[in-house]
Amino acid sequence: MACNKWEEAGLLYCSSELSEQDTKLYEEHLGQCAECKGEFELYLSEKSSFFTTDILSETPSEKVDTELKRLFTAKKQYTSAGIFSGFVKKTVYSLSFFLLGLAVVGYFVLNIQTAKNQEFTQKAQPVSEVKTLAQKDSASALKDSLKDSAMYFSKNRGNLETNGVYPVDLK
Amino acid sequence: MQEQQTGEDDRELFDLWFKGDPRGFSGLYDKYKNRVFGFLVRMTNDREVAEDLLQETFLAALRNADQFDRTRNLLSWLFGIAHKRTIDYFRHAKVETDHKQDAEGAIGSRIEAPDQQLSDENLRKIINAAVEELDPQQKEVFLLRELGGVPFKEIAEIMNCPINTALGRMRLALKNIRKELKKRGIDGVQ
Repeated sequence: MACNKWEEAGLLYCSSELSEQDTKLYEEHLGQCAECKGEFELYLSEKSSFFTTDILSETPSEKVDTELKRLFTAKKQYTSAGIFSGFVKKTVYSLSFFLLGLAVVGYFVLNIQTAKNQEFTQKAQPVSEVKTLAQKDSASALKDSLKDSAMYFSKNRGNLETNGVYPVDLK
Repeated sequence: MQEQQTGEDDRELFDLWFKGDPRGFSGLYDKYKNRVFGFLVRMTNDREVAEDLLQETFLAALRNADQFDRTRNLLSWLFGIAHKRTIDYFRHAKVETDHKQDAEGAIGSRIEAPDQQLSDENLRKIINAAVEELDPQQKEVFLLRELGGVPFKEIAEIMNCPINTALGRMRLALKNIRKELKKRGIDGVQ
């Protein structure tokens, strides 16, 4: 082939892939170059006679056809709208479960806390009772204490006196 | 003009499909199944495998409908998926050698005597035999372009090669088909 324009642009021209400007240039060239025009016409004739859909396509078996259609109509559509609604549904369900879980956990935590408080109050009661008892018995306890002090002083009087300490008789 | 009308029809069917109406997908499937299946049969030379791949192709299209760029031609997109499935099949099954041998056997049995009267069915057999003789890469480009109407720019993307390589393969495919047709008694266009 003496002219290489067909190789460069002919097929792209046939598939309408040339820019507007290149299309015009190639059309002008086709008017002048017999070789390119011949190739172009041959290709167009082959396309219409040989490379047709009827010749090149094939029909799948009816069984496969039916099976595929069944699959396609039964198949769930994954559209953006579908995905969004699915996401919202899942979020609502998750949130509901989370809140329910939170409520259950909160209930138990509160119960445990209350139980602890009650236990604390129960444990705290004897202390106050002891205090009350101590207050009630404070007079007798003071008496005992004084008695002990007196005994102590009487035992150690001699020593204390040598050191110049004279205990006051609290009685 | 006709192509534009087809594109609009496709878009309407695609919109129906996208809204979840089974008529949309069914319409597109009926319209394009034979072309996609023709591509798959010629690429694999095995009808059963081609039927599996046809199913995979349309299921993949169904799953990835969100990713379809509506400015593109739907058939080109389907052929892109079918091509990928075919490549995956050859990669996993490693049947390329067997496939070539089977193809050779099949061609021998399908070709009629050249002087036989050319009925439509005979012409179909001869053209298909000539296509089967092509180098796999030339066959891919030829079928994507002639059966799928895929633009060369997209063919280059699908086959991961420069556009000039795709154009070169197409030129060689045409040259070889003409040579084969001549061998079988068809010289030029009827």
